[in-house]
Amino acid sequence: MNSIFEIAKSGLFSARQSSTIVSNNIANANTPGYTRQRADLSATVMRKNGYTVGRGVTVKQVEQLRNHLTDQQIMKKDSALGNLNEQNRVYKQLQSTLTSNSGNGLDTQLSNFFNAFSQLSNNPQDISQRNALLSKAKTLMAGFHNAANNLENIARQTKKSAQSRVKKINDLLQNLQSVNKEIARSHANGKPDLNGKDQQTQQLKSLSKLVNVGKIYNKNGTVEVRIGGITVLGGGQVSTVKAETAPGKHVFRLRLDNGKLIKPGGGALAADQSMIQTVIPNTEQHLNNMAKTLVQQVNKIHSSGYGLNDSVQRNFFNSTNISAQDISINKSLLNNPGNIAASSAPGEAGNNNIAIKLSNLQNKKVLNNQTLGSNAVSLMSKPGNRITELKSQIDTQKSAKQLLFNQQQSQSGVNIDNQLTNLIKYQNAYQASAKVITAGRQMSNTLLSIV
Amino acid sequence: MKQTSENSTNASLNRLKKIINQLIDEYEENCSLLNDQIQAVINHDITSLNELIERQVRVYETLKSSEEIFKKHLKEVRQRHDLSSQSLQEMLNDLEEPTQTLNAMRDRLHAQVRKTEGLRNQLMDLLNFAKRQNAEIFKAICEAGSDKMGGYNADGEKQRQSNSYAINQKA
Repeated sequence: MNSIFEIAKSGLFSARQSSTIVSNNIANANTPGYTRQRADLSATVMRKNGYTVGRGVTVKQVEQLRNHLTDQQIMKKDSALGNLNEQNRVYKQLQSTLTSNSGNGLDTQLSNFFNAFSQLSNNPQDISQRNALLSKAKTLMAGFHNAANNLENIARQTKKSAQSRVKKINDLLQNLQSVNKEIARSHANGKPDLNGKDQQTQQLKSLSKLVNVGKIYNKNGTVEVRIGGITVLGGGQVSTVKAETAPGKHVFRLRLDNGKLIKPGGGALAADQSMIQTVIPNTEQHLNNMAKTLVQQVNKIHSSGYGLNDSVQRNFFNSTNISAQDISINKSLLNNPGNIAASSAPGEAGNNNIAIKLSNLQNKKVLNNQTLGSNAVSLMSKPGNRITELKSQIDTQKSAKQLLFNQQQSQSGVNIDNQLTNLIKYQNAYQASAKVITAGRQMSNTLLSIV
Repeated sequence: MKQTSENSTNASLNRLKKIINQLIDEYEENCSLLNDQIQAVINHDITSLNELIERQVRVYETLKSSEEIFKKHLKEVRQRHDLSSQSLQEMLNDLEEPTQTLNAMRDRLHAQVRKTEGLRNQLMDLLNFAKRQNAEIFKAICEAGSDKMGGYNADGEKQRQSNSYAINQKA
């Protein structure tokens, strides 16, 4: 009889542990990152007189139904998606900066400016045409200034968000360090910290969205983390990542507190770095080249002609201000529109040769084997084209991640429908068994009374 | 005449022995079934448990008819010997014939029924425990709704509400 009680006791203990695990699974069904747990039961046996006698059941271990390979693949997708989404965000800002909803973009402003010279050539003596030309030139200048200032703002904002990401990386590394300590302590006590493992995976996933993460799992369940091949967490030590920037310069570097430079390699931070160091400077450079070419080409023709008032040859734009940010119209022209050179000879008010030459400039391939208008269109359409490419890449990565996520859910997720169905089955069987046992008990009582 | 009566008494007591033996065998089978059921509950093996319950019902049917036969035969023996005793134990005490074997068999049957009773209690405890645990899990399921489904109690503290819709969502 004693052995029966021992077996039942071990059974009750195992059943209690199993039920607690099922309850925990269900309570965490909606917890992001929670991995389903399972009690691994094993029979306890004893050898007696050469026979194996069952001694009940024991919970050998509680295991997590998590596939590390799937986790690894999901983290890679997270890293790629983090990178693409951040690129997409910055390109959208660039697009809204360079294009105009009213259709009055840099290309239109350039076209209006050159068309104003064409209008002037029809009536070179007309002051109102000269004023109209100056007005178009001012609009074009404002267009260049706005675009340059907005690009600078985007660069500044991107640096700011990159810096906040660096702070987040440091927070995540600190959290991982704490989780590592808990996991190591639990492992030393012989009780694996499964919730800690879930937290560890969640923190690594968050980190993967920001940078490319290399991971090495130790036997005690702790994890060593590398960024750009350099260890930032391991051996009980955690490094601090610092962002290096220079005001007004297109520099963004990551340096560890031990002085080593690291490369993000992927994730949103790599996208930020690429935007700050390459994409935004290239866009600025293109805009500046356009401004410089416009100043040089227009001045070259304009300074060979004459205005209405004297025989002085003047530049149309200030020749020293050749960047998009400070491009400006010659003050003597603004003060006296008569000084705009339309004529190729002094004292010939009706001469329109220079105005025609300047008007024709819009069709000349003066930069990158393209006209200035085409350069503007190319500059404006680049972010849009890139956004289209990114959108398709994001969609592909998202569906690949969804597939992996579904795979992970089938392995690790808690399916409440299944749990509920099982519980109903159990409850019905228990009730049926109890009913039969009660009937048997009455029978035994009758027999005992007559034996 | 006396010889015929003696033969008849022996035949009647032999028949009683057979019936008791059968009852002992059936109770032993019942014990084995109860042990299997305990193991099935412990192992959460519902398929086996359901099969065992069906076998248990069949065994009870057999036991019931054996018990009826036993009661009927006991009555016959009592009438034949004109005894007023109600139980087998009392009857064996009142009989003039030697009843050592029958006494030993009665003790075995009594012990077997007691053992069965003990196992039954054990299984009932286990089933009650399992049902209670299941009920707790059901409660946990009903409270597994999202936090958005929660409300605030009179003291202004956040409180989760049971929600049948939430538990039907795929996790």
